[in-house]
Amino acid sequence: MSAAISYLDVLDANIDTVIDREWGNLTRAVGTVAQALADGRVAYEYLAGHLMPGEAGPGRRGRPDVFQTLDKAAIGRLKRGDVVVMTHQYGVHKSYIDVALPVKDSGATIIAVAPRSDPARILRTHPSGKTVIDLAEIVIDTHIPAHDAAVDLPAGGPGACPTSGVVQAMIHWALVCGVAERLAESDR
Amino acid sequence: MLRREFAGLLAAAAGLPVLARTERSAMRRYVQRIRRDLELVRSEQAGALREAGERLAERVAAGGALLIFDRRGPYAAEASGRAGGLMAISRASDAASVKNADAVIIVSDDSAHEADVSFAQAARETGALTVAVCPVRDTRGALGRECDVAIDNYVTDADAAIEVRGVDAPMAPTSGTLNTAILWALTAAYIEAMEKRGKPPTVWMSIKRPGAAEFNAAARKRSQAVGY
Repeated sequence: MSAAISYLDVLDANIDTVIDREWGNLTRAVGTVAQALADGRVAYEYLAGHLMPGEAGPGRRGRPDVFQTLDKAAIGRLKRGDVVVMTHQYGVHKSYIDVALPVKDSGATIIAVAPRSDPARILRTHPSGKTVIDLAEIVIDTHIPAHDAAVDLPAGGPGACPTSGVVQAMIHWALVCGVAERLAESDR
Repeated sequence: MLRREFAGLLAAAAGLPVLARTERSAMRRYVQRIRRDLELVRSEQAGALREAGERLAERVAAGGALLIFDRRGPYAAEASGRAGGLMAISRASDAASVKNADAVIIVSDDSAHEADVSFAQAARETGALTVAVCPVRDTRGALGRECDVAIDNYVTDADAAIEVRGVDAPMAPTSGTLNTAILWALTAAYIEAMEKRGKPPTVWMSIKRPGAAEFNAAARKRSQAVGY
């Protein structure tokens, strides 16, 4: 079997696991975001990492206005009842937790899209020792493979070809679809 | 709270699959569409992925640079400086930066976009190898035809896959998910082809892993010395 097909097989299994095990959490997340918007609160998305700022940010074709982008200024405006979706490869990065902590303090609800357990001894680099999983009310586990590497290199090394970007993008758009549909239903 | 919403929350809280309504929900339809398109990539694009990986490796093994052109930016960001990604891949900002020995991957959600098509034409004119990841069956667009190898991402013309009753316009692009999946499958094919040539490419280790700083520093030196 070719390495490309091996990658697609690992990705397929990853997506299968997300659908099998996380559908309930996705549905809860949709309900939470839709309820917040129906109550006049704001739903934000914190877009960090490589793919997601460009994939899901404002101006993207096919993007309804479900989520506002959470920037530094918006953190200061957060109120209890707002919702923040935080997506990350591991959910442990210091700069990311530096955002998650004031979000939590504001009383906003955090929905984390990240692996629930450290795939393999991932370093927690924030002084608090927290990960976003510790701070979130709802966790949508991305179930990425160990080290976020789907392909082993015969010559050694850390492994290659992550699945996290693909899974994050799929979860993001699935959430957007779910929330938009829920809001349209409540308008009818 | 709507009764159906409450039922969904109850089912979720109980760890049960949400029935009937969600089976045809927009969320379910989007996920099904992604799975269908990924299966099409697996069944119909395996040959193009293998050919592209071989031809990219041929160029890089002969001393060319591996480049990525991405008009919007997210795919270049995903491919560059990324744990599990190649150290020796860089973003081509314009065709003037492409040399005749190089190999360039052009990732697009719109085969008809003038910037993508004109970049591909200019890069190919210099003698560079061009590999497109784009909607190949979109007859409006020339990008796939202008490149040496084209890998279909099965994006529909509008790149908005889901219609929701009560929402004015279709929503939810598939291009981000599919392009990213294809980009990594192509990377896997390239790594395999390079290893076959005895030239395994250098890959970043996640900085979240113990020992990553030392590993990456040594790997970076190697990558700069060998060019891949």
